[in-house]
Amino acid sequence: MILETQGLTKRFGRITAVDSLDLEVRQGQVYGLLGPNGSGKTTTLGMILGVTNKTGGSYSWFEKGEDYRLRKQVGAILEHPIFYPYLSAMQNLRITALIKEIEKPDYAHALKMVGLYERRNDRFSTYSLGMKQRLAIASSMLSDPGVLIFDEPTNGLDPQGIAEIRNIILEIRGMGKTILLASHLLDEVQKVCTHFAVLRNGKRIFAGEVDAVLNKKNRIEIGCADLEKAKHILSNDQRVLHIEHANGYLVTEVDPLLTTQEINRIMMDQGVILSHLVFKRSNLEEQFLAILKESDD
Amino acid sequence: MIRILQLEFLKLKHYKAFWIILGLFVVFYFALGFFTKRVIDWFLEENMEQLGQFANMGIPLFDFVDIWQNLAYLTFVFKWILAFVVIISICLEFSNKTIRQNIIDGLSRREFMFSKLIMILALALLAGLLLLLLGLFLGLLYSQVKSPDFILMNMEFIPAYILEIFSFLCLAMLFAFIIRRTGFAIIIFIFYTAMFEPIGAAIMQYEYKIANWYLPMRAINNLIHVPFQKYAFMEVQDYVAWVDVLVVFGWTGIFLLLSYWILKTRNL
Ligand SMILES: Nc1ncnc2c1ncn2[C@@H]1O[C@H](COP(=O)(O)OP(=O)(O)OP(=O)(O)O)[C@@H](O)[C@H]1O
Ligand SMILES: [Mg+2]
Repeated sequence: MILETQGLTKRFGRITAVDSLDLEVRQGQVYGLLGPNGSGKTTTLGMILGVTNKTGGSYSWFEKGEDYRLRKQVGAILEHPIFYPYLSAMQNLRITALIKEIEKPDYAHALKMVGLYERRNDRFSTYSLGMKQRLAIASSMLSDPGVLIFDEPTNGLDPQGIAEIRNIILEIRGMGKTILLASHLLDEVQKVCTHFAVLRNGKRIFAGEVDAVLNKKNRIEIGCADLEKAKHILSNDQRVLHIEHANGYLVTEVDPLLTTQEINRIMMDQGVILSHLVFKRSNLEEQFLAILKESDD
Repeated sequence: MIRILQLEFLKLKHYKAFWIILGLFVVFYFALGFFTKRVIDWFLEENMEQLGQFANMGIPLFDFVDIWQNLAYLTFVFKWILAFVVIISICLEFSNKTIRQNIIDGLSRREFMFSKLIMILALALLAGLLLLLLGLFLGLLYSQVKSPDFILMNMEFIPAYILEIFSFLCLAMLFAFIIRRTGFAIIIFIFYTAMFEPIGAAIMQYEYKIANWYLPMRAINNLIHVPFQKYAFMEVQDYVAWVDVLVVFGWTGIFLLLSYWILKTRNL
């Protein structure tokens, strides 16, 4: 177990920002902390990183508790990249290395990984937002930690910047590191994470595997000359959960057991020739909205 | 310990404002020493008629034995410059949020405070060193007696001076931790240390006849008593009293405990 929280709670006056939160992040997971603005993601991360004092509950790093020294084995960025503006990238990384007590910090490697090696001697205050964000990632990777925490790392970046950061995160994930990623972008969590939890008003309203949730329902788009006949055939199949017309196609929600090949075969058997058969991965957004809706009921 | 020292040094090494203010401090410090003598001589000459007796005698401001207390007292204003250095460099960590990242990276809040305490200690020692250098320089230049035993006599004013500045800077740190915003912290610090408490103390003393030796600024300034009345043949305390030292130690402890408590209990 990398991180465990039990009943973690934070109150700011009358607002309960985080409400008895239980989380379990295991080795190798890429864990998405998903929730709308103000749902308590940053507050949660602030507590497990020692900058926000908790009101109640507990957390434990590496099953060893809350000791501040454990944070030296975690690379983390909260909200915005934070550095000494009057110092260069190199000088800033030296400070990180000193705090984390890194024996032989490989500055060049960390800076090259995020494409900042050439600019390493420029002052931080002269960097663009994308560069700042990348330097933050370099800094968090400097100690080669097993765990990384990113809080909305693509916030405020342009599409190219977002793509760059995502690729770096995927690269880090490829190294087998555990990642905890807070985001309000479902798409981001869907693309990057293996597991996720949904927060709302500080409460955890869902936790599970990304794949399991995504594979609950698949969407398949079907096009042919006689849509009504196709619809009739499909509506008799138990594995088809929902059918509707859209843009001249039939859009179906089906059980993952029902594959496109299977549909093609069934249609062939009934003498329907398909002109269009597209598998659409169901998107997390709908699941997410469904989860939010369920929690309302 | 060495790691914390290195950390603070890395932070300050390239921080221009810090070195500029510190440079000004050193320049002002020496300038005061050099110009005081000139100004006094000039003043005496201009007022030869009324102050003739002093002029002939010369005011032994920079004579050994007296010089340590005199200089330590004369340079007391400069501790505000050092306080600004402390407040600016601490508040900068809050306004840039770098303290937050320090803690996230694995520094404890106690270590953070300790790193600032090291800076404060370094500044206090620097002030002590300047006092020593300036004293030796002016003393050897102007003093009528220059034998080593006279030079060494009354040197306890140097450690007392270091303590005075250290304690004062701890108070500045406390203000920085509480207020966190540079401008506000400086204004409120000046307001308290140079107006609110001195005026309050005066009112207590003269209006209500309440003793006020225990107030923090009073205690800090009281370590080194005003020496100059003695040149008008009045009695002054020309030594460092242990009680005064103890009171200042007490306050310093309180400043440090409060600073730590504030840092510990507030969100960063
Ligand atoms: N220092 C603070 N003082 C008072 N309330 C706060 C403070 N920090 C956060 N909050 C409140 O706590 C709640 C959770 O905030 P938090 O920043 O954790 O949300 P978030 O999920 O990170 O949102 P976002 O997606 O906008 O970053 C919000 O209602 C916020 O207003
Ligand atoms: Mg946030």
